[in-house]
Amino acid sequence: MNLPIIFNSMNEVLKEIQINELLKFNDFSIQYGLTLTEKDAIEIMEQRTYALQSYGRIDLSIETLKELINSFCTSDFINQQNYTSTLIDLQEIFYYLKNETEDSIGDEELIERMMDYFNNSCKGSIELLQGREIEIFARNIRTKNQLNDFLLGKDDYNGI
Amino acid sequence: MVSNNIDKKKYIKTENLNINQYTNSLLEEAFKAGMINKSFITAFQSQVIFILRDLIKRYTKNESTSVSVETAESLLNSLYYSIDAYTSSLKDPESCIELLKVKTLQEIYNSGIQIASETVIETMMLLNEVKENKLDIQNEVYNDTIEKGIPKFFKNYNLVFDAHNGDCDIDYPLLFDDMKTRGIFYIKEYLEKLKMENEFCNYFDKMDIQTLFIDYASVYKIDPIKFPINIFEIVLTNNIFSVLSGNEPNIIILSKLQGTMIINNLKSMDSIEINISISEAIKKIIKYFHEENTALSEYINNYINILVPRILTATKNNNLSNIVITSSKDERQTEGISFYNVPKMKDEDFRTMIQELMECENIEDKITIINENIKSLEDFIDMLKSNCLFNEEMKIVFSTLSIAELSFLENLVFSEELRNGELKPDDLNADAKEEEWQKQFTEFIKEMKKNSTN
Repeated sequence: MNLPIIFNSMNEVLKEIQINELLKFNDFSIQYGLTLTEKDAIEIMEQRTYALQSYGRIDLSIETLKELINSFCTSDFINQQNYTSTLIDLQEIFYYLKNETEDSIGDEELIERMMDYFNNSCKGSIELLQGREIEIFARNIRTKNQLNDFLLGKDDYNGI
Repeated sequence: MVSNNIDKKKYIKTENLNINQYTNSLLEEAFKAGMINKSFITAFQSQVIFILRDLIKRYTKNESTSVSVETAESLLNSLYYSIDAYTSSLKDPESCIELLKVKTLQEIYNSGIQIASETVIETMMLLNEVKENKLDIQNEVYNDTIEKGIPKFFKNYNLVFDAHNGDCDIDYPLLFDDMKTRGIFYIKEYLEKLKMENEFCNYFDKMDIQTLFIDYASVYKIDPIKFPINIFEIVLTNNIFSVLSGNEPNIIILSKLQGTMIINNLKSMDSIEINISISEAIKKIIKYFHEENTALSEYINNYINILVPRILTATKNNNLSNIVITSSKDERQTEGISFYNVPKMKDEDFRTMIQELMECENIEDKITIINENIKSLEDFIDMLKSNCLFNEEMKIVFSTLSIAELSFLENLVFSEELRNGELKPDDLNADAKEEEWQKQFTEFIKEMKKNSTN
């Protein structure tokens, strides 16, 4: 059973649906002075597809993007100029982290952590968030998982 | 004028349907047959994606919407397993396509889950039946598969997220095992066949089964406790040969004499004759146990296609004794012919005996007559010269002689060859002998010596 085969045949249909859904989030973000154009939405979705393929993941909804928008819109470090590029970076970081934390942290908690680091220790710097904070975080999570596995007598950890 | 718009009934090529991707292969064939179009397939696939999306959320306990590609593919396989459980249960592919056009995929998926879950319950009950009718045999592979391996499947089986798989330790091989099926349907089929195999074996004495199994293990030099080998096949094979030797179908133990007789008979047959003999024996077995038109009779009949080629190969390689398993008990003392240093028989008694031998139809009765009347080597040789035994029958009679008696005859027949030292098979030439019984004896000894060196 080959997911890529199904996806490829569905790609255009899904893409259109998801772009329209993404644009609807403007209804929320506009209160923070942040909106996406159709061109921005297309770019975000294309980068999302690239990130998912790079990290070997499947995401059939845009709930992640919705949560990222809901959380990061309130950040003082995001403005209309860097809104699209920051969302693109954040979604890449998010999918990277999902792998690096071995799918052991739920989406909501992960986004909360990213938000916390971004606003506080990274002071709005994506480079610091990517290069330092999340690496330390991911390493700590993996160590904790290995310890749990050892204590529970599990040798193979298998996601959630 | 006949209308050009006759609606031709469309058929799906069932030979192209894939049991493990039933619905997808059905859609492909339906598309080729013009029963559905591309937009139907696209709509179908979009429904698959939506169900998969929900499945991913359930799998992650609503904690995440994304999973690795491997996990998503596995969930997709599980989803299709349940869809296939429903679609493959329908009476024909054409009506299945019609149903796919009117029902939503969610409804079909739910029905598939229902069918699979009912199958799990049925199969658990089937496991209990198998445990009740299992054979009393000292083989760890057989016992562990039933008591531990298959129960492990039920403990770990996940009908929603992993329906197509199943973690279990099934090491005991069936005679016919369809490895193409998966998940719960594989386990169900496995247990149905195992139950059938057990039912057949339970027709026979359990000590005989154990004895036969030990004898088989001895021939093949395997550990009867740990080796994974199908017991039903061993029992059925010997049962067939037992019927060929003239026994009632409830016997599976063969004496060495019977084994030799069967081997000699098989060697003299061509492939068609062997096929007919095996088929007739199987018919007798099925009739005896009142299994006509049952799943077991079909199962047993399918064995012909395995046994006959095996016999032909063994005949070519001269190792039929590896297939015809005989009892390890030495029965020469009770069934064989023994020589004593006694006077020859009276002529009249000898003629009466020869007459009886000529009127006798089967070799076992002939051996009984010889055993009851002949006590001396001279009478034995006179009997061999009297043409009351066919060539193959002579060899069977030779096989019942003790080592000492064979030595007597060897000294008599191979006096020239023995001057050169120990008899070697290549030194023995049947054509060089004058009398027919000596030719047969030469061939018998030659074969015996070759077999003992293999």
